[in-house]
Amino acid sequence: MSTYALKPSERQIAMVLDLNKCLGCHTCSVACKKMWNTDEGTDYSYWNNVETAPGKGYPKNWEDVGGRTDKGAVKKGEIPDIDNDYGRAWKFNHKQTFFRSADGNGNGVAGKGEAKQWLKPEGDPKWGPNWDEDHGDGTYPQDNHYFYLPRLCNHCTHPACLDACPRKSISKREQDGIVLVDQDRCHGYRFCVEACPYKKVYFDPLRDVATKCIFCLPRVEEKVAPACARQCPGRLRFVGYLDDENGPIYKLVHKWKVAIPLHPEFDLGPNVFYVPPMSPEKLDVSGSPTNEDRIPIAYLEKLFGPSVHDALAIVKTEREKTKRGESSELMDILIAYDWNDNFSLDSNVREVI
Amino acid sequence: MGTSQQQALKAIELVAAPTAIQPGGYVQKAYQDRVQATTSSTFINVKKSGAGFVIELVWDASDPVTGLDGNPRRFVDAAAILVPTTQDAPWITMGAPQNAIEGFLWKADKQSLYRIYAEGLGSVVRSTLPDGWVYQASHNGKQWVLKVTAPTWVTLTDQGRVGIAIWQGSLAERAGLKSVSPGWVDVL
Repeated sequence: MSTYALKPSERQIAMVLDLNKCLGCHTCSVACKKMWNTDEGTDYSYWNNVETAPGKGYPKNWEDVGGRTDKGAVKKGEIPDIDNDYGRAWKFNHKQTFFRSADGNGNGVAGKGEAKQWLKPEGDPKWGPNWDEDHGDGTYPQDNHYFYLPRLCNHCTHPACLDACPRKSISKREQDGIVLVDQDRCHGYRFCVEACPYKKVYFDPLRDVATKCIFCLPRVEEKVAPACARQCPGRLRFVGYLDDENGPIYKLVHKWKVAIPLHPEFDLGPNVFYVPPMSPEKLDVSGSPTNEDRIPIAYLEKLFGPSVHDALAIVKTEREKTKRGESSELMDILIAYDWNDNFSLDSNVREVI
Repeated sequence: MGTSQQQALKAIELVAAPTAIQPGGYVQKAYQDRVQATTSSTFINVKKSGAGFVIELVWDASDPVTGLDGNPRRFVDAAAILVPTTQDAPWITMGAPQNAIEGFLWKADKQSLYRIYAEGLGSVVRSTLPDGWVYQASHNGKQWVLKVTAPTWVTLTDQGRVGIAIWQGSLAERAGLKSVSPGWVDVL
């Protein structure tokens, strides 16, 4: 808990991501990055990223180096390294690959006898946002598995970043609970980067300030969903207010209890929730299904806490109901027949008429 | 730095700034074992020069860091000299409301000094220094030597005492993670 006196937000905006629908296309990451982080200084940072789970993630090993213990107590975190943990923004050898003549002076294609130059990053990158994409875990074909885990700032109820800033440069808005950095106050001390156990605060070394997801605040104030959610072709993201009983967030989090936070043990009250992924069955040595989940439940419990058991059981039950031809409010929400229904920032506003 | 030069300078033993009083809940807990100064001492000389001063500050820095290299994990070396604006302004808390402190901050990756003003921890306001202030910073392989010429500094003339803070970038020092003079130091 923060030692700053933090007035509770009047409302809390939140997001739910259905991991059963994420196809790892990274459209969310691109939509976010193109909107907010294209400058030198922010070029390495992804307010939204999609990582393969199980995996080391982005930044590398973020789950191990944050400023909270598995009991929610403060511990000294680490600031990720640009080369080893984040990965610098790549520059590619476009000129050598596409604009090279036999004499090496530009224009044309590789000369006779020259080795073809393949497009590749310059330098010697050691890590990047999708370095271990689709690696996953397990043994093919018995139990190999992975799923995609999109991540963004959780706009926590008790933000570790806010608690860490000696300058009170980070605040949580009363009207919607969005957590923001005041870059005019920030002196670039980076305790926020160090403390956040989700590693979702970044540092802009050119401007000497912290940066983080603003939940597309200018869009939200116009009742338009954040770019990552609005652009998601899988329709897996839901946006709205936690107390809106008619909206999808309330229904998925509170009513149906299938949307649960990532690493609840950090005890920060994350306001981004996930519908955990279902699994196909493992195979035995003869290739027959075993009735065991391919994604180990222990791994999901490590990510989402013990409530993952109930969440998965509820989704399975409702899925079976629809298979039998019965109706299910939960399945109707998750299927997202009309993607406008995924967003409930204002009941009078629909994204597309 | 030769011995004769060092003799003109006043040696000041430094202490670790107490993390227990840092604002917020993180720093005071995450750094509660930080009790030793990482820079054990510094040398200072403040000479009157007309209406102003020539200030020289020297400290050990065996692993100087002068740039971030685009890396969030890197911190640069820095130093600050501060003066109380009132008789009662406390040093260790960087002043207090109605008892401000003021001075300058040097950071190894910046082309100019910052003027700083504070009325308590976490309240530092940075701005540009008045015209005429010049500085020179050099590293001699073992130590930083910082020379600052101020054409006027009325508060220093009035108070005659300074507080000193040193940050070692190689040890990720910033903000309240610093070595400081134990109190105000008479320099005039």
